[in-house]
Amino acid sequence: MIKMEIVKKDNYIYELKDEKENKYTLNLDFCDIEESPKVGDYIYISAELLNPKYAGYSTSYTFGKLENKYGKENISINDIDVIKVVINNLEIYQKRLYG
Amino acid sequence: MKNGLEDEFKNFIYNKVDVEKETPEIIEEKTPYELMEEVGYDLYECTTEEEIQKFKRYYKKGEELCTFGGGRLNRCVVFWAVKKDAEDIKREDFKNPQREDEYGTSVMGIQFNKTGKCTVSIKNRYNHTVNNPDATYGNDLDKIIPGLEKSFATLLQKEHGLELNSTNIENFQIPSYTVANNGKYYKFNMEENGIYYCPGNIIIENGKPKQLENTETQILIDYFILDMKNKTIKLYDDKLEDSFIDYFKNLEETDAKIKIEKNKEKGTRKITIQKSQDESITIEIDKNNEIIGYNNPNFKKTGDDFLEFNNKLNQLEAPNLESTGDAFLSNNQGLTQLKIPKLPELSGKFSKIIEKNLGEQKNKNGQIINSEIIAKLDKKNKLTTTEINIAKKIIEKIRGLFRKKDENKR
Repeated sequence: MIKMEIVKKDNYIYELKDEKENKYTLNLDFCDIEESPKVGDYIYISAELLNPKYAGYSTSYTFGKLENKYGKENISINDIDVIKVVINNLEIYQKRLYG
Repeated sequence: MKNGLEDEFKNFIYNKVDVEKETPEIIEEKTPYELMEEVGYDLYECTTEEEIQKFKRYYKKGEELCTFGGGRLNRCVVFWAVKKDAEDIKREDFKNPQREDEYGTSVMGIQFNKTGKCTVSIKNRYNHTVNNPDATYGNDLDKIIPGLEKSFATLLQKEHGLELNSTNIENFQIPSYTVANNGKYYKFNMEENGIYYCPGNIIIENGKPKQLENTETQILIDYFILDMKNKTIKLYDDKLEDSFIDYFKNLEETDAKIKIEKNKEKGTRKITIQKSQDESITIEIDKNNEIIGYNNPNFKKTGDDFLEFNNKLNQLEAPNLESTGDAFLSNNQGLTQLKIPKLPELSGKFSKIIEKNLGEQKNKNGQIINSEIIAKLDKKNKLTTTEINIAKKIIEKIRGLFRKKDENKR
């Protein structure tokens, strides 16, 4: 997983920055969470989800809790579709939701 | 062009521009509704949650879209395309779901981001039962029916003030080229661990292209960064291991001098690292900054994985090399000359590759005019397809004449 800092947020548009100062802009929706991540929080995300060559790549992702019925069942936390969101030092694992 | 993709490439380009007609015909554009009707779909735009929920009945339990969880209209324009006979296409008849099969495409959610880049996502009726269900048809609307992308683009502009962006759709592939997240194609020399090393000191990591910070003093050679100012040669990706860099450790603490000389005729460059008066190493790189030659009279042993991922090295001279680690030049396919007199067995291992490459060099015929030149002419002079085809035929005739001439000589 790649550690990304949220450097800018405008509604669903998140501007992320990795440790090598590379910037990414993604449209992200976080479900099953009281508070969406904000500027200064971190998202750990697999390299595949950032790579346009990856078959499942999108510029827009929806994430929800690991048990959410709209994503892969019995998902491993090492799956490409799993992210870790760190909000106020609290780590939350979420998975990509489909549809 | 050497990949035999001329026709595909031309079709790709000519699909974008009609070069043969001087005055383009004005054809009234069909709406997405009309186009979808032509291929047997009813298209609906949903503007309320209630309208969205009406489509839930088409999905098998456990395969419903997360769109039905609510709130999608906050960030997307939502359409549904429903095959007229969707009710008759039964899930239980499809034991081996494939994303673009009849069931998967019988009901498709077509959604466009309202915020940020307006890109499309075509949602599959199988949802996550199949891989990448949010990218049915690779998110290429024209695969449903040609012209659909342009038609939706018009509708989105008129009715929602949105500009449809398709830069994340890969619709043309060329070997040895990768698409970065700016939608541009980049030639790459090699890819390791998902990182693409390209000519011109460009590295693409996580889809993002970037050039080395200081191209006046740094060069990307293979997957190493040579820093002439700081006198270092290092791996860009510290997750890789390659003992090529071992010889250059602590170079910055010495009085070593590094210089680069161009060979205009060969189109190559020679990097000379003068460690001391008696210790000089040369690295030759081609126009793409791939290592093609290495001359080190001083080193006696290498560690593991020496130039493991390099496949272009054609000349290696190491007269004092006595031992190597594992995976020495393990991916090399380019050697024509290997001078390691103290390691005759290792030399023998590469003899077949050397023989093959030397043989190929002898047989290589120069080409007078090739498709690459035609493509350049095409771009500059806006040749029509007919003119290009005539030119190709003439060139083939000339080639044929030269072939006959060669055969007669033999």
